Amino acid sequence: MTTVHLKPVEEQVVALMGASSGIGREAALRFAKQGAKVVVSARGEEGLDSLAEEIRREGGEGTPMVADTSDFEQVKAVADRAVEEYGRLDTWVHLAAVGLFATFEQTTPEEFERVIDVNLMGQVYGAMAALPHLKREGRGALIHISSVEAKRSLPFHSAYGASKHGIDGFLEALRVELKRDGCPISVTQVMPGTINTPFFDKGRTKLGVKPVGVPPIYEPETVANIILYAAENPVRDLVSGGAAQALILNQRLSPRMLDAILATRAGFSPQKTEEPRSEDDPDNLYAPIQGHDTAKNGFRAFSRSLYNWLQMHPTVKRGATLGTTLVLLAASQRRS
Amino acid sequence: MNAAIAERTIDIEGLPTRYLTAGSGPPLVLVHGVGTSAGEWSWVLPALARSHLVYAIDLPGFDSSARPPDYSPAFSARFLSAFLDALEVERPVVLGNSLGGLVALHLALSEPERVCALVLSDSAGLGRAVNPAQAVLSSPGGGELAATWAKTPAGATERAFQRGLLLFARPWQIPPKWLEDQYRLAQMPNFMEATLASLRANIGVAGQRDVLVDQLPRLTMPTLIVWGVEDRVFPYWQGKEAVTLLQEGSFELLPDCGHLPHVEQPRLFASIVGQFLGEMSSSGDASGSGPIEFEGGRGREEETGRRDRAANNLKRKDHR
Repeated sequence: MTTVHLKPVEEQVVALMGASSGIGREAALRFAKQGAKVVVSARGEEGLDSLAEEIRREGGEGTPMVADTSDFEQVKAVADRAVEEYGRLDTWVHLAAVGLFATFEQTTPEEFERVIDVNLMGQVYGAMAALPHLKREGRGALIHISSVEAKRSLPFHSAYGASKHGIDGFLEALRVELKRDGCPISVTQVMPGTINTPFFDKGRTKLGVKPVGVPPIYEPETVANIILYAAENPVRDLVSGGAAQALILNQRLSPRMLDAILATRAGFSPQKTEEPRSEDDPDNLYAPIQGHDTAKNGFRAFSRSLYNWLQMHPTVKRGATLGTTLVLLAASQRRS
Repeated sequence: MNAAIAERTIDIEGLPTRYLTAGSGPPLVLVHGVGTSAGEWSWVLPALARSHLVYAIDLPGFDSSARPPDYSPAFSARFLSAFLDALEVERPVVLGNSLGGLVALHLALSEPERVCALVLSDSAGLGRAVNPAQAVLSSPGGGELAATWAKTPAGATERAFQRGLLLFARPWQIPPKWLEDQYRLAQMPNFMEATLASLRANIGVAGQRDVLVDQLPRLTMPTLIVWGVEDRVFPYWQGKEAVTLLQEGSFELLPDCGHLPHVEQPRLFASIVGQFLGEMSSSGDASGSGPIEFEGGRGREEETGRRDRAANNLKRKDHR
């Protein structure tokens, strides 16, 4: 069995797909700030230019490159560009995703297919494009940002949930294949819960209102932090936010019970804001839209997650688990 | 259902208190447990209201009732007594589930002349043992964390999920209205505080604090103990042992049922309670009516069959 050793972030060349806004933008800035050389990519040129500008202002080094994640040649060009520009590729971070907020029956075949093309095939192309470079380098990290919906789909998200489940699916096979070959490449799936990003403004909605994820909502930096952690530490899965982890645990315990709860108001009403929005309003399903090139949206959000902190401090986590177990054991001894 | 349920509010010792009422006949008072409200009786209320004037009280702190100075079962029992005074309810049958059972028990012990008969369903106070999850939820820090989390939509969903798994034998068959209510209640102001305070008043690391088993022989009124065989909060043997200490007690074990028989087996529960009330009124002083009848013959036959199976070896009547 090979142990994967990853370089410190400041010595890395990192490529990020889907960096113009949201988590990707925040992560790109953090990588650059810590001294990594970054290649940032997305469909929207404006967002990339303003990001590159911001990176330069902070004293970082970055190359913007426009690419559509649903086209393999374009994705491959991004990976190749990193090697041309900086000599190698150490970490591939794939974030690009579109949102479609509608019931299954409201979704057209074209819309469903487009969500799969961008959210799932895009991630597949990313891994295909980056792998040869990482293997040549002899080590590296593939970091795929899916969602808590990789494990449990929510109502209004049939296409989105299917695309995220797909990421989980291909990564599980790929991870084992690499392991068997003794390939020292870390494959991490990052599963965020609801994050305060422009994602909810850019997606197509048929709910009649601006959509939102089920609270608690976290700031993009909480996910950016764990992406940077995964770039240095070979971890299999990272769930971002305790709420997301709770949902996944529930799904493991009893999917039927979770169905019953999500079928009530609990599954639907927290996904709607009061702000009216039409399905004819501009969205980024087929082409980029302007005016959302920021990391954050305007929701009230937590900028820290105790759960994530514990994930990134495994020794403390083990200590806390042991401590809790001992306390419970002592308590049960006293009882009997 | 034909019985109209009215929702009313009355001022009890300065605390605005909500209650549901329906039916006519001898009075029957229903007392709910921790972390829920009077609305949880809605699955059996119409059936019970066919022979009785039923009152289902919101214990102080839960749902729309105001915050009380004290969350102990003894205080709740005094509060219940004041509630009966205010509504001029004389010698009712008192039926409590879980913590509500302990409240009913306190009232029956402190003011036995006020309680005509007692029904304890999966009741607290009949043994020390409790699911360790409850001890964790009432732990210092852990309780606050869980309560704060449960007020968010995701936390309220999570809480409904965990309670569902804990309280029901068949969690995936929980009525949607129960889940809906739990989701709503957790997000109401003060509700989680009341839940945590009540839990802490009753449960510590060593289990239940307020165990009244040694006082059971003092009870003289007819008492029915009902338990879901798959109760994961309090084990059913607590009820089985408690009934042997009663002067006039009977015990019924419900199959395919967890901690909340009135939600999970409403027909069976109401028919068992109805039969108990009917036997009482035919043998005793209470004016009244026969056992509760159900509409829909097929369902009833089926329920009765299951009930007989379960009750076969376990039903006891200990008369002195």
